[in-house]
Order: sequence, then structure tokens, then C-alpha cells
Amino acid sequence: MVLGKSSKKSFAIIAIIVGVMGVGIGAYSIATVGSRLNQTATQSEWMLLPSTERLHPLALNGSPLLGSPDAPITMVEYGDYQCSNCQRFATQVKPLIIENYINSGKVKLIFKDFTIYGNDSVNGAIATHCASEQNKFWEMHDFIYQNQKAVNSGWLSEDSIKKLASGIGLDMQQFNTCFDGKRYAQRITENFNDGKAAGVNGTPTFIIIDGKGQIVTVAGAQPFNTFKQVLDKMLEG
Amino acid sequence: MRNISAMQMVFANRSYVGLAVAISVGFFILFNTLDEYLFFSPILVFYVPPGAVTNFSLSIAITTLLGIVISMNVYMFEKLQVGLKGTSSWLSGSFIATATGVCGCTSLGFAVISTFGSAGILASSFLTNYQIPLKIASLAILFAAYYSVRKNMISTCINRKDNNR
Repeated sequence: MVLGKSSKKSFAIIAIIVGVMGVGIGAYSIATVGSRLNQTATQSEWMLLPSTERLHPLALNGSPLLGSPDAPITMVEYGDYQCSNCQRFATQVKPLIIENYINSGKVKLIFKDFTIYGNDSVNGAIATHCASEQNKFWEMHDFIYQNQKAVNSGWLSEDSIKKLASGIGLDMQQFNTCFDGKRYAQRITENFNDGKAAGVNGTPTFIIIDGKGQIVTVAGAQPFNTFKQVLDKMLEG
Repeated sequence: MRNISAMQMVFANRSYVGLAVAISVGFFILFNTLDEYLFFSPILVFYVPPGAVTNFSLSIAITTLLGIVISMNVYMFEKLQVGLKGTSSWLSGSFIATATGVCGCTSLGFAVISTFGSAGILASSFLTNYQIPLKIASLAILFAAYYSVRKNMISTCINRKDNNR
């Protein structure tokens, strides 16, 4: 049986569409693999640097630290307060890491802002740094994630963030002065640029560094078991 | 009855079962990677968090339907020599379902935001906020595609049977 003209035309259209989809998926895969390879190269160069220099862009710009500064393993998290996957990590996985690794002095966690969702995400980040002036960075950090709502729905607008901040017992006058003056906007931009330079291209991304300079990147809100395997291996080695 | 006979007609041939499974598995991997339930690095992990059961279940339904509908279309084209009807339905259904995975947090979403700036943020926010309704919409489109292809198969077969008498 011979196909009709319309059938041939339909087949040609579908072949083109499927082809375009295939090329798109292929291009995405190549781009992803490519970015991972670049990331590895960057990290290899990084490993040659002395410890303090290596950690400089990550830790020495005043980013908040959770745990003992002497902990052998440094875990740097890049996150956005509007990212649902970051919330999943903050509420489900981070408590287990604190309980099993941070409280025992094995790991220290550094949080870096990687604001991808625009101005409201930047507001959230500034608010946490303003709260850190009153030694409440992690309270504010956790409180924002616990109250996360739809992306860019106004829950992190300037007014909303001030209402949210009042919920953790901050001196609001001091907080408002800091927040309205956008005191930490520069640091947030720096954090974003540091992240991009380190190969971060999504949130949450974790760069885990052991005492010997070995680096493992964990991209995404992976389950506790993944972190456990990485951290236990680093602690054994 | 018609429902069973259309499905039986296609999947009596094992190669179409294989095709349906291959398509479903391919889309399952794609959707779960985009939704961040499946990770390949640093170790291979498949993990559906407690709050994501609805989204995951919808993904399973969509991937299963995609396998069935595409295989039925291929069967119609190959065996019945009929043009690919309902193609736009499953294509748009699969496109919407895939697009819902473009959350700004993921590398693909970040690429969209980096490329398109404010428009990218807007699009990514919309896709993230309406992920479940959009997946339901794509499921509805795929159901429509399924019923369309089933109807076409049966009417083609009935016409041919009548012509052969």
C-alpha cells in the first residue's frame, strides 16, 4: 500500500519536530556535560592552591558559618530563598547533617547566596545578612525557608520581609536601617559571581572540601544518604 | 470493548510493547532528572521526597500515556498506513510536561533565566508555581490524544472490513 500525500506530509512534519526535540535534548546534555567538565578543570586548579587561598572566595567575605571553624570538612551551599529544592534541603536534609556531622565538629557549613529569581530573592538574602548583625542569621535563614511561598508572589517583597523579620524577635529599627540601606547588596552580587566562577549553575549546589583539598560537588537537593556517603568517605580518607 | 480491542490490536505485537516501554522509560528519566528526583552524580540516586508524591504520580501517568499514545500512532502509520493523526496533541502534552521541569533552580532553568533575563525569570516562576496544574493539563491533552487515535484506528479498521466484503 502506498502512502497518500497528506500522510507523507504528516510524517515529514513529525520527523522534523522529533528531530528538533532530539537535537534540543542532545544540546542540553552536551551543555550540561561540558559545564561539568569545565567545573572539574576549575576545581583541579583550585586544589593546587594553598588552603586559605582556595577557600578565600568561598569563606572569607563574611559568609555565615554553621559549626566549628576547625571542622576538617567545609561544606559550601549555594542557595536561593525562593528555590523550592533549597527549602527541601533546608527543612529535610540540613537538620540531619547538623545532627550527625556539624554538632560533632566534623563539618562546617557556609551558606552563599545564589539569587536566581530576581529582586525578591535578593531581598531575602539581604534580610538574612541584616539579621546576622544581631547574630540571628541562621534563625532568619531557617524562618524564611519555613515560610516559603510561590516564587515572586510578593512574599519576599520589602514589606513582607520586614513583617517576616519581626517574627524572630529582631530589633526592627536596626534591621530596617540595614535593610533599607541595602547594606549587603554588594556581598550578594559577589557571592553570585563567586558561585558562577566555581561552576554553580543551579540551586542548591554544594561544594564539599576536605582537609586535603579534595572537592566533591553535589548538585540539587539530594537525599541525606548522598551527603552521608560523600562525608563518610572524606572522613575515612 | 472498543478500548480493549484498540489496545489489544497494537500491543499484541511485542515490538510495540517494547517501543511503548522504551518511550515511557526515556521520558521517565527525562522528567525525573528535571524534577530532581533522579541524580547521576556523585552517586546514582533515585529519591522521591515526601512532599512530591503528587507531582511524581502525575509524571508516571504522563510517561505511561506517552508510551501508549506514541506507539499507537506509530502502529497506525506503519500497519494501517494512516497519517499521524493526533500527533500535535501528544507533542504538546509532552512539551508542557517537560516544560514544567524547567524550575529556575535547575541548571536548565538557570540557563533559561541567564539567556532571557526578566522574561526568563517570569517564565520560570510561572512554570514552577503552576507545575501541578500544567502537568494535569498535559495529562488531559494526552487522554484526548489517546481517544482520538483509538477512534481513528477503529474507524479505519471498520471501513477496511466493510470494503473487503
